[in-house]
Amino acid sequence: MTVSRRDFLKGLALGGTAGYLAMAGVSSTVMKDVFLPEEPVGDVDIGACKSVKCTVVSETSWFNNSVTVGDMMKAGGLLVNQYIIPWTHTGVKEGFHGDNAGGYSTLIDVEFLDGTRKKILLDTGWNSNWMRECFKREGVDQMLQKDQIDLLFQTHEHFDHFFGIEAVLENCADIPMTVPKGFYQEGFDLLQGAHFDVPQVKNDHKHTGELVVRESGKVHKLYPGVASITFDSSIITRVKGEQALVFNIKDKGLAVITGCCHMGIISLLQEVRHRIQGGDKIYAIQGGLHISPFEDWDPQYDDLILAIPKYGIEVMGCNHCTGYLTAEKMIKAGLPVVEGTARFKSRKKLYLGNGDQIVFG
Amino acid sequence: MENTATGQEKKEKTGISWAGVIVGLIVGAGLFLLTIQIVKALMYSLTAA
Amino acid sequence: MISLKDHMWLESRVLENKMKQPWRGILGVLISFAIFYAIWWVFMDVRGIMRWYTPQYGYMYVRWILIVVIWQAYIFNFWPFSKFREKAHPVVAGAFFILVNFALVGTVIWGFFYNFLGKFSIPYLSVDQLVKLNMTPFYAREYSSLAILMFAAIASWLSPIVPVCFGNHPWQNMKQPARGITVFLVTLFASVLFFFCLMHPHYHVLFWPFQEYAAAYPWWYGFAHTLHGNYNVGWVMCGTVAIWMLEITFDRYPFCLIRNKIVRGVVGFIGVFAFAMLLFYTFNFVQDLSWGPAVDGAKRIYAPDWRYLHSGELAIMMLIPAMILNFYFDNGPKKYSTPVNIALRMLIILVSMGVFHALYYRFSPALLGTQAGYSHPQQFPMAPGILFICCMLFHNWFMDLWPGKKRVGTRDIMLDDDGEALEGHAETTPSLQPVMAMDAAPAVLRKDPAGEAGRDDTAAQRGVSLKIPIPSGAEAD
Repeated sequence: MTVSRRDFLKGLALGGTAGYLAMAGVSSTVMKDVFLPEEPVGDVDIGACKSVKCTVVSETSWFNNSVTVGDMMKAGGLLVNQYIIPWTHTGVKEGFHGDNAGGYSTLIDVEFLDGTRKKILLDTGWNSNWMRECFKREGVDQMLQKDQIDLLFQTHEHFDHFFGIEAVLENCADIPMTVPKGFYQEGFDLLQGAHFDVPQVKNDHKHTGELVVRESGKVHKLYPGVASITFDSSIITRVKGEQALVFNIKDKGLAVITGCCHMGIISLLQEVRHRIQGGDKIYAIQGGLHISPFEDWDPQYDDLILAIPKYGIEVMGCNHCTGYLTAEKMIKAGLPVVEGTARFKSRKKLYLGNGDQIVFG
Repeated sequence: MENTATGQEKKEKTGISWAGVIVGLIVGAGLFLLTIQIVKALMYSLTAA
Repeated sequence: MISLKDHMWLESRVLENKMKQPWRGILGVLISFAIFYAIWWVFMDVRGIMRWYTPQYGYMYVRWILIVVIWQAYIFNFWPFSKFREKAHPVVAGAFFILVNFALVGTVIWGFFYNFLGKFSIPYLSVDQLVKLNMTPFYAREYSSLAILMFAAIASWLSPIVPVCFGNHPWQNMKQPARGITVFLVTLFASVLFFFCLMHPHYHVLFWPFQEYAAAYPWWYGFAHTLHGNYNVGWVMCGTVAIWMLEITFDRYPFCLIRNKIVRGVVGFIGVFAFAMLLFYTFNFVQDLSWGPAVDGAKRIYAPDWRYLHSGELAIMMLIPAMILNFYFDNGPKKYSTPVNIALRMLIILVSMGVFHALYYRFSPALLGTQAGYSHPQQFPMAPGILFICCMLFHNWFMDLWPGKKRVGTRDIMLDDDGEALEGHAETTPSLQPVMAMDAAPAVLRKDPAGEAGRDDTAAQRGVSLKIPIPSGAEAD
């Protein structure tokens, strides 16, 4: 190798390394915006409705945290299929006749601009006996029998949101239903009438109505001013997929209603902003927000509390898996969390509990 | 003592071609831009998260 | 004046290659991996025996194994077992020093943190204390593990700065254990300060009510967009990788060109910090490009704090190929000039990093029992990553890279106050003739002296001059 070629290569190596590192430094700092795409603005028009009334049929998915967590750990951890976990159904002091299982379900009453109304039942709860009592309390059983509920919106397949399906289908076997993509075969089998002995869940009333599986990546328009979005999240106890409802309330803004929000409330709000027209003003959120359901903490949740105000939310009807600690911190941070009445086995007034209602619009 | 390695390095230091350095800077910067495009293309989609 | 052996015994080793490449390299990687996998299965894997990968609890032990290895080999120069280290068979030495390591780790965690500092000073350093305060045992263990491991993480970033940037100056002539104790105390002090500034504020917000009087509010929130200490975990990891790569990949270039020791140390320190920040920003940027920008308050892959942590994880995924290249494959091509060699090394390392990254995420659930995906809370590549690094260090520092290499002796060189070999004092022990190392590149983690000159044909080294020049600036460390 001649000296000059060697020298050239040396210079090339020095300059190349320096150039590589310098471009790394420049592009990751001062030139960052050149490379990153602009934030999309939602353009899907879902129409508008007049108002939405939510009745919390049950938000107490279970009555003793450690029993539920203990059941999952004893079965082998958070990844074990929920259909093979021997859930505790007896001997729990705080439970429903000793049964730890409760359930999550919300009744949504939508009023449209022309004055007509529709009812959506969001989720079916867990313990059929408990759900029967809750449905009776709120008159949901009668509504189902009279075909007054237009849609069963199953947010996700989790045990506390879906295992109570029998309590719905025994009153209305042909109710139109929608599930998120990701539902497992056991879930479909349960809808068709199945018994699972280990978790003690069964359904003797085959679903005969329309069943729609909603895919992720798009906005599904259900009624004027009412839409749903599905997420592909993989969740504990071998569950996949979750969907949420979005309402466009005229002159108010968008209201988002969730079951558990496993995908994360910020992800949900971002998706709404990026897909739905008017998404820059999210007026209300309601449902489980899945932040500290087991009362653990992580400063990431504080980040969330600090970030929520910039979405412009005026009403927060959170409950269930949001966690009491989260609710307490949100209230202390000045977020508009709606207080409840702590009735019908809901423990604290911090947020909406069983039997509480909230109206958007 | 004759510090052979230092002498070597001194020789190396003075024997750098500045033309090479300039070409290297451009090539290096371009290689980084290429790297990030490759990485972006190869990364898994959101569902892998 | 101090002998090279007393200064840094590892650098005085003369290692002879006993196998050809690439088999020597492949075998070495497999041995380290075997040690790693045995330890992982016994202690960490969720399907294994102890199941400590939760992940923070097991990761805590891994981080302390690393800093204790650095104490054993770097800071204390194998004292008080240096003679045993020299005489024992590599496998025996390896087993012994690994056991000593584990015993020290246990003592530090259970003795010092859980039962002393956690009890009498800061409760979050002790699992029992947190449980007594009605915390769920699982979270109590995770929270205290994070704090304890961060002491080690910060220490393992700061400790190499003393030898690598400053050549152990001004304590380079002290004998053991005085030097070890001094450097240990200095880095302990610095580590404690950094811990309190970088990690302690995390605990302000971790507990409710906020621990307003005991800890500062996370001061990085304004520019980091997260209260989480992961912001600091990320750049500290990048700093650790930066200093080690300066040592093993860059051969301390270009800082070794600076003659004045103090200037070299300071410029080196600043340079390492700048390189660390460059890694940190670049890895964050690459994630933003791949997945979209992080979103304030979001979780999983969009969480700002997870992105910072992942930058640290990506840095480790760069360090592992760099170490494999250095320890097992003679640090890549050597036939060109220094800048070209280094540039080629970086190219090899970057490509290897990409391959390693793809293979890790593809196989870690099946192989290591981690969760799938990038941002799952039980997907924590730093735990297996750093354990594997520890096993490579065991293999090199305790076992002389046996059986691919064999230690045939040590170099008896006296160093002057500047850490340079004294003229006329480069003697060898008789048994070393004629396999003297050609170049004295006295960086502990760098190319081994015999590995470079002693390729497959050791006969080429016979009759080599006994003078072992040390390049100025390349401190005997």
